[in-house]
Amino acid sequence: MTESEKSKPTYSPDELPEYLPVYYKRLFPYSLYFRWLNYGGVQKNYFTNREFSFTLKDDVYIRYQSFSDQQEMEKQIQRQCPYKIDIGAVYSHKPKEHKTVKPTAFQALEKELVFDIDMTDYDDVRSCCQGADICPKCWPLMKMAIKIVDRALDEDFGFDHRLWVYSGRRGVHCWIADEAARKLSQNARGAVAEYLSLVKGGENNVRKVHLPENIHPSIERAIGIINDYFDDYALDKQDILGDKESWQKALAIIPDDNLREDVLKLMEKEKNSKDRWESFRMRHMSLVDGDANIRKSRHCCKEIGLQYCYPRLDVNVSKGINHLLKSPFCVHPKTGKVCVPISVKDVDRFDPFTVPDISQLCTEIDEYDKKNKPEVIEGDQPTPPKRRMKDYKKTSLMQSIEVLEQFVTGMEKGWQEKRLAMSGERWDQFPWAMFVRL
Amino acid sequence: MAFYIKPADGVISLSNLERFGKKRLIFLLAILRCDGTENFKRLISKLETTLDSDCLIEGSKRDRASHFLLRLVCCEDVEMKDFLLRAETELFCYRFSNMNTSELTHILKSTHKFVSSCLGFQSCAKDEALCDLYMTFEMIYASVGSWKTVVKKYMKDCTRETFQIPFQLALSLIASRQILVTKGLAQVPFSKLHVILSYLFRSVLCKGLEKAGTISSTSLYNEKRTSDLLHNLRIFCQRLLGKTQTAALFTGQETAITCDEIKQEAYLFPPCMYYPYRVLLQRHRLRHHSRIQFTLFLKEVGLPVTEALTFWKDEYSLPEVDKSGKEINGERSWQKDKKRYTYNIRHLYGLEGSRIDYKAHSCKFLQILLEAGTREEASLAYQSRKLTEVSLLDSYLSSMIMNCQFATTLLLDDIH
Repeated sequence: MTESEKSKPTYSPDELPEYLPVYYKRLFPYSLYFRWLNYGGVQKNYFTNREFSFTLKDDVYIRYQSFSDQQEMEKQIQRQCPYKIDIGAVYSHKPKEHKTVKPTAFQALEKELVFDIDMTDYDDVRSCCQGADICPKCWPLMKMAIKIVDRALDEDFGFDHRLWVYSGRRGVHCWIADEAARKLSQNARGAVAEYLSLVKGGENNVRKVHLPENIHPSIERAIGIINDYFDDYALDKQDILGDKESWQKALAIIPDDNLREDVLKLMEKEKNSKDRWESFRMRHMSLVDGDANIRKSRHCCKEIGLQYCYPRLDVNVSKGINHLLKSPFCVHPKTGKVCVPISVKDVDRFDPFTVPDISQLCTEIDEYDKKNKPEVIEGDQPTPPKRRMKDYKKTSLMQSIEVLEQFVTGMEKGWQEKRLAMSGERWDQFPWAMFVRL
Repeated sequence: MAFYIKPADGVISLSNLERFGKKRLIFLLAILRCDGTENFKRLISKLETTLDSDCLIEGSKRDRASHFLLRLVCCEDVEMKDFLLRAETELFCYRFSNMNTSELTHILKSTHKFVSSCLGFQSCAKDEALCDLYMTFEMIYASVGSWKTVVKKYMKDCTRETFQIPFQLALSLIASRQILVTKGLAQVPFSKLHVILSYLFRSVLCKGLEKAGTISSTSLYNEKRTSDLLHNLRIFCQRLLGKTQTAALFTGQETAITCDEIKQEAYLFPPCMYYPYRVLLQRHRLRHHSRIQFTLFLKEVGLPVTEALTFWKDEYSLPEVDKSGKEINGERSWQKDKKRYTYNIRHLYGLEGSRIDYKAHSCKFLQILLEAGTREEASLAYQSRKLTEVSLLDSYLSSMIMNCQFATTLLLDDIH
């Protein structure tokens, strides 16, 4: 074993009790976190009425946690060292006091709009992994999902403040913090999720994408994004037409029997996925325009691409206003990895396999401190460090925290304006005006 | 087609009020059973000659009075509320589709004017549904500058020209991707005006029912005559809807079943529940939503909570089996998560948390579940579209027939 291999820490869940306290004491970004969830103090009690849930060791799960300020939150988290933290809704009353309130009066009022994209939902179209596993061959699915969903949320729905987070193991989450998003009703959330859903059907359905004659522009844009990745991801990495079993599976999606037979015969003639796909595409193009019978299959090329690559999100996670979702910057108990934010601009460079785990981070702090110990001259008092450097800056967590920083500062200007406006005008007269994006 | 924003003023005798209420309930139920505008027209002409039908004339005082009365009647029961929402919205849609250009223009103009004046009042300004209504009218009007033009374009089924409204007010069109949306603004073609207005009608009514729920528990109940009136109408409505008691908690009653009996009775389950049951027997696990739906289903057919706990414990204590029949080291098991599963099952029976007596969901809901979650076992409810998966239906039916002789005897009995 080389020196570097010996020193590289390998994580195991038994180490959590040892490293979590260090993580929560020195690395968790409480200040940024509070600045985010407090939303500039524009709405009173927004932070104090927010539900958090903790999962402690031995799978003890406690709901309805809430804190009066950042200090209390820090204290509680450091004291209890939760294995997992979930963020819930902002309620009508302090969640920790919910038992003192009449059940019908205790309501979930607002919450960020969230999306959860999980790699297991793609099991039927991944040949490299199944279940909780991911690898560089299937990770591009997440890159495509992030780009497609992010574009739609931005350009179609006009949501400006979007935070994408790696879930620590096999998927990504998106948090949308715009005011209009937080105030959305359950139906509206469901509708947005439906708008983004295209792949439908259970394990018994062969064809899961049905495109209408006129393709909606948002789907066309998604197809454009998929095309950028298709050759490398589907034809190369996943090799979807690589052997008989694979191409039969892929081409089973073609609705028209004759066309399918035709294309299946073409497969043997070529030697690799790329050529086979090209050959399929050409045949499809030449036939579809002519034959009226193949109307159902007019988009089958696109449909296959979409079935293999289009984002699959869990509508139920997005719909519920009181749904609890794993918090950014908590640690995934099974992998030890921190749930770090992903910068959409740099999504192609994001590598989930190099996301630091807490044992690595704790080691990094120690190593940095060892290297940068202030010199002690005998007889003199050691000079106190001029400015204590934030610990996360000593670690590979720094960039991720910067992503959160950008997310928060992006919103702060808006909060300032709102606070100024509210001090002057009577906003309570026309509360609906806050809904309007004109 | 009135939006029923303001209740009617005036004096009316209690007995008349009760009569109108009953009349309207019968009419609303008939509307839900109506299939298409032809039948609706026939229904209307039939009723025109009967007594008290003037409470159904659009916009009349009696029409408004009976509508608001029914809000009070239905506001406290979930099923009655749902009935009222569906029926009144259907009525709204039928009325809308039967109006001519000048009637429509008049209605939209006057509603717009009325809502604008309403918002001057504090109580209305806080009503989100009314604010949405106002904002939508403003934005539709602003798109072409005159209601006459709006109606003309709608009547011409104009799909090219659009008006803009916040996407939150066009949800059904957004969800099905029938329209464009840019920066949060939905571009709605004039041909879909009725969709937007019926959605608004429904949300105004929904909000109104919420409000009715808060006032009905106060002054109205102190006055014997009004509380009697509401009570009578509630009983009448329940009878009309054919409500039956649900078998929620069964403790030793005759209609209860035990978890052993489930195996014997399972062939009687509808396909959408039989399939998850079979999967459960094979793999000893179900996906989350399927498990919830199946638990609720068993509750409704009479499985008491104690039996339910045994049933799920028996299955979830066994090791999980994957699709190919191999035992796998799954993450979920009764041993590991006993407390969670127990709490969850008891919660569904209304014994924990918010103590809600959850009802099993309808076929429609399960079909929606099919589209949402790609691998839920409970979503095999057969839609007309899914019947094209003939091979699936075929294999299911043949397995059913092979597995139970009773079915064949049933079929034979039918022949005799």
